[in-house]
Amino acid sequence: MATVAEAGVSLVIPNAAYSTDLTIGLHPLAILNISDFYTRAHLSRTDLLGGLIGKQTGRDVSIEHTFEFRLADGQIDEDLLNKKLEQFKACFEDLDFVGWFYIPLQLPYEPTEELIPVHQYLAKFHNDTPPLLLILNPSAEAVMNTQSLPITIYETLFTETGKPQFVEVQHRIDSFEAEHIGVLYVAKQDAVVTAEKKDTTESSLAGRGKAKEKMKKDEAADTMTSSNAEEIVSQLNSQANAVKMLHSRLQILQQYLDYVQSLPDEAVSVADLEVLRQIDGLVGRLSTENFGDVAQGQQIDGLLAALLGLVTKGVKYGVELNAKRQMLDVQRGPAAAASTGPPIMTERLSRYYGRS
Amino acid sequence: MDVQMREAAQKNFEVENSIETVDAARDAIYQYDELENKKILNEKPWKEDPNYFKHARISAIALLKMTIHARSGGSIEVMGMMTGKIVGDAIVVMDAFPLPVEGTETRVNPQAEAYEYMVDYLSTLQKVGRKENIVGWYHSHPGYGCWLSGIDVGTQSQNQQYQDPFLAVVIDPNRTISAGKVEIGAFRTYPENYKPPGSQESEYQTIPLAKMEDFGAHASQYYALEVSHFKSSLDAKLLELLWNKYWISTLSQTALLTNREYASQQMLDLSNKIAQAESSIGASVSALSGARSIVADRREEPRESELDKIVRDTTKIASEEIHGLLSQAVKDRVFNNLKTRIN
Repeated sequence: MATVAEAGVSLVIPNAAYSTDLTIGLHPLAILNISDFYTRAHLSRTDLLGGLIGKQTGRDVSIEHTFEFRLADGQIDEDLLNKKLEQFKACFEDLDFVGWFYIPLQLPYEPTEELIPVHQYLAKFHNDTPPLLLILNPSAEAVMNTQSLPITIYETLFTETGKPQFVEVQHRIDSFEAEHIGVLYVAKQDAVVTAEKKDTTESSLAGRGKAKEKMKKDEAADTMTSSNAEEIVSQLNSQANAVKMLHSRLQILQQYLDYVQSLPDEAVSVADLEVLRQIDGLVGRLSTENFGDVAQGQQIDGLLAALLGLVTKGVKYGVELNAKRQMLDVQRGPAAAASTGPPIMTERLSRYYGRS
Repeated sequence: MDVQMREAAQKNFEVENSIETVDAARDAIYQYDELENKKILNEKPWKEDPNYFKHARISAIALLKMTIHARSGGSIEVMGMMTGKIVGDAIVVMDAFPLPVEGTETRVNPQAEAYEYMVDYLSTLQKVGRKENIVGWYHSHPGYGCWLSGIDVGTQSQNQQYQDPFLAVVIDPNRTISAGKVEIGAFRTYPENYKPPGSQESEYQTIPLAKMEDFGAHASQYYALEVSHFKSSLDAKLLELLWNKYWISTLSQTALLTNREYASQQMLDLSNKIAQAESSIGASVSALSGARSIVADRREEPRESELDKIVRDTTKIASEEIHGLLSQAVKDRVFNNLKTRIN
């Protein structure tokens, strides 16, 4: 494959001419992998390309992992490719080769003629059908000033001329639960986890014996409650942001509907029927169910757990109190110190306090 | 606008705004300096000081790969290797890859089974220009916290003897999901007969009864490093843009459902601990009768701290449940009962 020396001619067919039933779920890990590759290699290499690993079920394809290709004398190192595919199979049995990615370093940031030989070559790893092509646009304008990811995924379409052309396919972002949490975590600016084992040499200066123990316990309790509070705040924040996004999207829809409604009767046909039908479908799918029982069950479980926490705390305080009371009794005399255990502790306590 | 004009306009734009998608200063950590690395590998400052490494810096993709791999193993422990470099007193983890090995808590040095795979994989990395070396291994403790078991300590000690510098990382995928943040720890073991300076107190972790003994017996043989993360500027930008599509899954996540099994296990374990504590409370209370106040004073300590631990465990379980409920409550308010509200 020749290195891309001058800007080539884009081979993309505008979407309106062709609609596809392929749905693609792109995972954040794949996106970050490609970006990491670019960061590391963009100064040293002219060709940045690699493979995509994922799962295809019917017309839905998920893209989960990526790896890099090596170019030797302008050819893709096939041994390396095969080896990589083997290694992925060994660890993730149900994932396959689903496509390849390319990071163009100059205009146009779209598939061009130069990519066709590679594309056709890779078909043999993909059951002899043309694989998906993912283009990451690393240019400043694509990354800095837009609202959407600079990633486009193309499907191949063979035209009458026999040459492959590319059609853009919409993708959605899928992620596993753990991946989701990891991405949110990494996205926060200062993601610093403090050491689990704290060095207590400083606190040893502050006091001795019981006082030091108590202080350490207080500190530990403080950090726990404040970190709990932080967690709740950040979780609520992300939920709030998500709801705001939903709200803004709904507002756009509502504005559009208002506009259509305000059109005089003759001009109504201008309205995009496709969009209106989709909105109608969405509204129809909205649930009018109550989910009452299940939701209540969940709530009860959660609140029960909270209640359990409180009760345990109460028991702890009770036992502490009992122990202190016993110490006092011990000082007064051995007979008074005899205790028969927690079950009748509360009874004894009430008698004790009633007496004094 | 034809291609040349677009190109010229773009170059102008970039120059005027001095925009770079790769920030030379911030992304310097991604440069691999061979000479620098060779130098520090020759000096080996960690040989004299067992406490030399204080920080572990883990890149965004390494973290994600390890978390996803750990979660994909379900309740079976999985492991993999990490590549990276040494910078000062920090071990920097640039990338991670899984090994096709399972159930790693049953034997010392499980990576021996996958040596061929590991060497193969390393050679493929070198071929695509990634010159970093292996700097550690990671494995998962599904549901029972981030610490090193006796077997892990054995494996890591061996690693540190023959392959230093080496780092051990542990991830708990179940806790990650239930708590909503990544549970990860980085450790290094002490050489035998080494007394760590000052008494190290560990921040409390909820550990299932079955594993408690293993944890306690080896807790003083290793220490934890401070874990921090980094990402490239392009990563940061992409993550920002990702949010535009990500908010959907944030709203729709159901932590309570996905972690139901783990939550019930926690409850079971808690009930066992309470039963244990109950019997020990009964015992020490009766032992108090006739004892002098000084002795009673000392015996009070262990009983109190056991109850203390139970209280902390229950509070932790309760807070995780409440976390899950929070997102459910939001969903309920936004999406349910639309008919009644409209009418």
